Formats: sequence, structure tokens, C-alpha cells
Amino acid sequence: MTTEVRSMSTEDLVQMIDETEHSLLELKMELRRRRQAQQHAEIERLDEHLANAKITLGGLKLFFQTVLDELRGGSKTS
Amino acid sequence: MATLETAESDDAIIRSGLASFVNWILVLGLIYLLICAVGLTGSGFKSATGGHAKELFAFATNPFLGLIIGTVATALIQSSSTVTSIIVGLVAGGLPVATAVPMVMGANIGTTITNTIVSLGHVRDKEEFRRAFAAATVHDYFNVLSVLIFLPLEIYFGILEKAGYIFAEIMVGGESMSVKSFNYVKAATAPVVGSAKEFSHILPAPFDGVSLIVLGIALIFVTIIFIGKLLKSLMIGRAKAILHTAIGRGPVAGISSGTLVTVLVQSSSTTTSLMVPLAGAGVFGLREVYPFTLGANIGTCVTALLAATAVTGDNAVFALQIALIHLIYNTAGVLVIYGLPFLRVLPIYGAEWLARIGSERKLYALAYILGVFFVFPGVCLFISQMNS
Repeated sequence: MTTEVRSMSTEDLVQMIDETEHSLLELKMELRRRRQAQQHAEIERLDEHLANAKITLGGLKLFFQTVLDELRGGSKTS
Repeated sequence: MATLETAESDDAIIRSGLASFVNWILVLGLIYLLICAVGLTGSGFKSATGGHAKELFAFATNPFLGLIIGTVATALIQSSSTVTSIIVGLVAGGLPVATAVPMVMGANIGTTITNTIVSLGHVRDKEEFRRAFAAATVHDYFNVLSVLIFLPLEIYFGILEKAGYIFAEIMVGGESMSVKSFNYVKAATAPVVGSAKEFSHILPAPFDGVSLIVLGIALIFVTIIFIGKLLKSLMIGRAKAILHTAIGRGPVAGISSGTLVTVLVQSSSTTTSLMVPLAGAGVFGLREVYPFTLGANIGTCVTALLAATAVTGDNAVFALQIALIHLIYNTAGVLVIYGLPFLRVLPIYGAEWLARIGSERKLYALAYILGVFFVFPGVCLFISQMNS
């Protein structure tokens, strides 16, 4: 690769950088689009998320159990 | 067959429309009750203290103690709207505004416990827990930083008290826009408040006033819970639309959507807790969640402002003043902390650090919650009592 690049003309190198930058920009935009699509999809499930955004006894119990496990020296979480 | 299906569909639409209409009527009724409840609390407090509210709350003139009262009360009740509405009622009954300001600041800190506890439920997966805990505690760090900046300014210069008074006087105390503009509230609530006051006189003083305080606070609790429940179901479509609009539009849209959604569901805890599972799943990043939670701080002020409109008489201006102070404080907090890049990043760094060590060892997360919301306030309370 290094030998190939060294043998390239400056114009070709500039063109290659431009093309790479353009590709990178397109990839970033696609990534952003996918992320935003995922966010829109999650917002469509807002009622479900609102129902889950509560303090649950089960969640607290699990947390305290994890703390106790850690104190006993055997962490069960990944 | 098709005609039957169309008829059934029409029936369902009519039923849904009717249910929605009934729910809106209920919301209006509950808002009316909330306004009456604040009026009752104020009247009861005034009557029970016999005009000596200032002396009764002399123990809370220490601003740190006021801050702790606000923090612990809100952490236990898990509703800053309820606590600030009660504070408005107490100010209406004679609690000095200067004593109430740190309490309102403490309510901001106390309300953050809800989403922090919600984030504990993500403990199964270490990475998910780290993201969820960071999304929850960024709000804590912001609110603590806000107190660190504004409480000293308030103690030494009284900036919030002065700003709140200027706006409150313009709204209810000035000659150009007199209290007349709010008289419709008094006219509407007078029958309920008046009847309750009359009824309370069957008890001897000061129990008549105490009974009004208890009734008022109980009503504030119940109405805010039910308003939140009803609005959640009624405004879900609107909240979705607001959130869809905010996606990919930067922090100002995030703050605005957080404000609007909180106004719609009447609960900052709900708004900030909503973001926890979304952040935990990795759908929203910490930097996207952060401005949204700040909007929740501003949106939650609406309940107390609404409650303040119920207050009439000599203390009307002070009740509105404390409600406005809450709004000014939260708005200024966002402008100063989020507006200045070197301050903006501090809550993010703090939350990321805490989430990192908390996900490694959950005991740190537990120690943080107990320490910030209960042990530290308890120690401060103990020290202040020892000194007095």
C-alpha cells in the first residue's frame, strides 16, 4: 500500500483523498440515518416505555441481590 | 358484513372520543381541585400559625437546612411538583420566601432520585447498567452543580428572590396589571375553600388550621398523581410528535422537547425516567439525553405556577414569587450551565465516571444514592442542629 501510494501522482492522491472523504461522509450519514430511524422506532413505542419507566420492586430486589453477591465476592453480572 | 364492520369501527371511534372527552373533563376538575388544595394549605397554615409562620419556620432559616428539607421531602415523595406546590401553599400561609428558596432548590435535587432508582433495574447487563445509570445521574450532577452556583449567590445577593419579586409584582402586585386579572381563580375556588374553612371551625384552634393543611396536602398529592396518570394517556400522541420532531435537531430542540413533554405529563420524574431505558438500550446517547432532562427541570415548574394562581390576599404576590423563583432558577441553571461549555461538560464527566465505577461495583452505586439523598442531608441536619 505504501509503495502504491508513493508511486501515485499528486493529482491522483488528492483525488483519492477526496473520494475517501466523500465515502466517509456518506458512511457517517448512513450511520446517522440508521440511528435516527432506530430512535423514531423507539419513540413509536413510547407508551410501552412510559409504562416501564417506573420503580419496580423486582428491579430493586435484583439490584440488592447483585450488591450482596458482589459483597460475598462472587459477582454474577457480566 | 362490510357495513357491520364500518358500524363497529364508528362505534369504537365514538367510544374513544367520549372517553377522551370525559378524561379531559376529569383533568380540568383535578386542576381545579389542585388549585383549591393549595388555597386550603395556605389558609390552614395561616390559621394554624396565627400569623407566626416566620417564627415557626425559624429553624429552617439556615439555607442548608432548607435545602435538605426540600431534598429529603422530594426524595421521599418522589414528586417535585407536589413539594413545590406545598411550598407555594406554605408561602401563601406566611412562610418567608427567603426560607422557601433553598427548599425549592432541594426539591430539584430530590426529584432526581426517581430516575436513578429506575436505572438500578438495568443491573442484569453491565454495559446497559452503565449507560442507564449515567443517563440518570447526569441530571443529579446538573442539579447539584446548579445549587453550588446559585445557592451562594442567593445567600449573599438574594438574586432569585429579587428577580422573582420583580416578575411577581408585575403579574399580581403592580397597578398596571393588578390582581384583578387573576380574580377569576379566586371566584372559582372561593366556594370550595370557603366551605372547607367554615367546616374546619367545628374543631378548636389550632386544629382547624391543621386539618385544612392535612386536607390540602392530601389533595395536592392525589390530584397531581391522577392528573399525571390521565395526561399520560391523553397526551401520548402529542408527546410522540414532539419527540419525533426533536430527533437530530440538536440540544435546543432537546431542551424544548423535554420541557414540553414534562408540561404535558406534569411530571419531571416521568420524563427523566423515560429516558433511562432508552439510554440503557443504547438508542439515545448520554449527550442526547442530557438536554432533554434539563428541559424536564423547566417543564415541572408549571404545576407550582398554576397552583400559585389560587392564592389571593396579602401573600398572593409571595406565593407567585416562589413559583416564579423556581422557574427562573431552573431556566437560569440551563442557560448558565448548559450555555457555558466548560460547565456543560461537568455533569457528563461526573455521570460517566460514576457510571463506570458503579457498573464495576454496584455497591458504589448504592453508596452514592444513600449518601447523596439521605446520609449527607442527615449529617448536615445533625451538624446544623448541634450548632444551633
